[in-house]
Amino acid sequence: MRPTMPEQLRGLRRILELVVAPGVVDEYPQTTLQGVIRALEMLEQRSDDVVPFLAWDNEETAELLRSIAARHPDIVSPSLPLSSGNALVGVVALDRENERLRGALAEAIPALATDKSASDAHAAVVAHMRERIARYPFASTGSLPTR
Amino acid sequence: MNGASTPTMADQLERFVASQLDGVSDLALRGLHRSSAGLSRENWLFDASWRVGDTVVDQSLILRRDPEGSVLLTERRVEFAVLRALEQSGVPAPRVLWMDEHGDALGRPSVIMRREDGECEYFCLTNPERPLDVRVDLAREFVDTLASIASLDWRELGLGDVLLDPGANGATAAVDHWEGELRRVQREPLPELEIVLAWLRDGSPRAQATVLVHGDFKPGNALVRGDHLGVVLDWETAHLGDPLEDLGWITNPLRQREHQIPGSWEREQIVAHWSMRTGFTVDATELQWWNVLANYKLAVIGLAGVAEFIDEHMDRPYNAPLSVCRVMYDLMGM
Repeated sequence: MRPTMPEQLRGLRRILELVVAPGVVDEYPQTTLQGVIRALEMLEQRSDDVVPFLAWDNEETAELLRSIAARHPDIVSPSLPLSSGNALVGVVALDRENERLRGALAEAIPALATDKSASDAHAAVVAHMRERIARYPFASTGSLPTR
Repeated sequence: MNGASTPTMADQLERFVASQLDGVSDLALRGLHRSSAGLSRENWLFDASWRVGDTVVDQSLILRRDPEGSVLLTERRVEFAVLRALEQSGVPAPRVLWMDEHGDALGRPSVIMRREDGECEYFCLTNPERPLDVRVDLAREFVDTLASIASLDWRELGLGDVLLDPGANGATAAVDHWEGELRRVQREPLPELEIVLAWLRDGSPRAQATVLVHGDFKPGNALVRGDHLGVVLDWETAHLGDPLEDLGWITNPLRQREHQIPGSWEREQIVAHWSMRTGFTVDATELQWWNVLANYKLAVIGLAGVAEFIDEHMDRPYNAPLSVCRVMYDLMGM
């Protein structure tokens, strides 16, 4: 499928950079436009990573929840459905599943943090969060000024 | 989104300024334009002149107006009152002139203040353009000024009428506030931050006093004149709270490049100097708690940007500020 998604994003960025930006004079729209161009560049470079990232995170989060449910059924219910992840196709379905699983994990945190017998599970959640942050495809926002 | 509204804004502004000036003539506003500086308020720069009798008054001014979407929810009424109170305090702050509290005249709540002289230099302490000894002196001036804010008699200045005193519970009040903000702006589950929140709730320290907290003290919110700190800007998050809150903000490891000079002015020197100037003791564990709170606050502010971007109120693209969690986990020993 041509232009591919990265090709389209690159093309849009080029038009903004070479055609639109030179005609923008005022400071505020100029800075705003530079922010848009940087964001398009990030999407161009990282958009391919979104689906594998979500698939990986869904699998790992489901596994975490499964192991917590096995040892602490009072914190995560063993009846929570946790097996549909691998069959999902498309970023929207993966994203919806990601929210569902992360919602269940978020709900479990207060109990995991206070229950001393769950300290291993809490440590495993923190370790997964660190790994997820390292793999997260997008940077948070533009950089600070240089001066 | 907003640049195109300049002509309307110019008309509104001229009418508003005229309404604030009694018995003057020849009012003229010039050079109105929106600055890209600042993430929380619209900043419109302009010059104004008018005649009082035979005297012509010329002023460089700045209008700070609530934007359609902001990373911070703050009140212009409070900012105005704090700045008015600071005029009698000796703390260098901008001179505020007028307020449109409800936005009846200017479309949204706004304050107008004098545009002070000086340069905003985020990295004035690390930028090698100035010699090291000059930068160390400047860094000390920053901490002196922060100490003088914490040492203000806020009751005497009348700030107890506009700001809430949390007493010894400044830490709990801060967590309550920023959790409230998180719930308002979060658009998805965030277990990363629930981990931090549980930790903050478990260990919140008690304050040794209530002081005026600036809330976002940094070189990027100040104007430097020559080699000296000229004026402290952006008082919109000022509140009453724990003395260690601002100290925790400026010793946040994530913001090291803004506040520290490697080998010459580091966390230890900052803490010792601030403690000596304020007379407050600094418990290392409590300060670390405030470092974590500082990052939690940064994460929530970033998420507010995400929410406003999703809701189409924000002109800057935002993504989830998850990397800040790594810094918090390190500080929490996890």
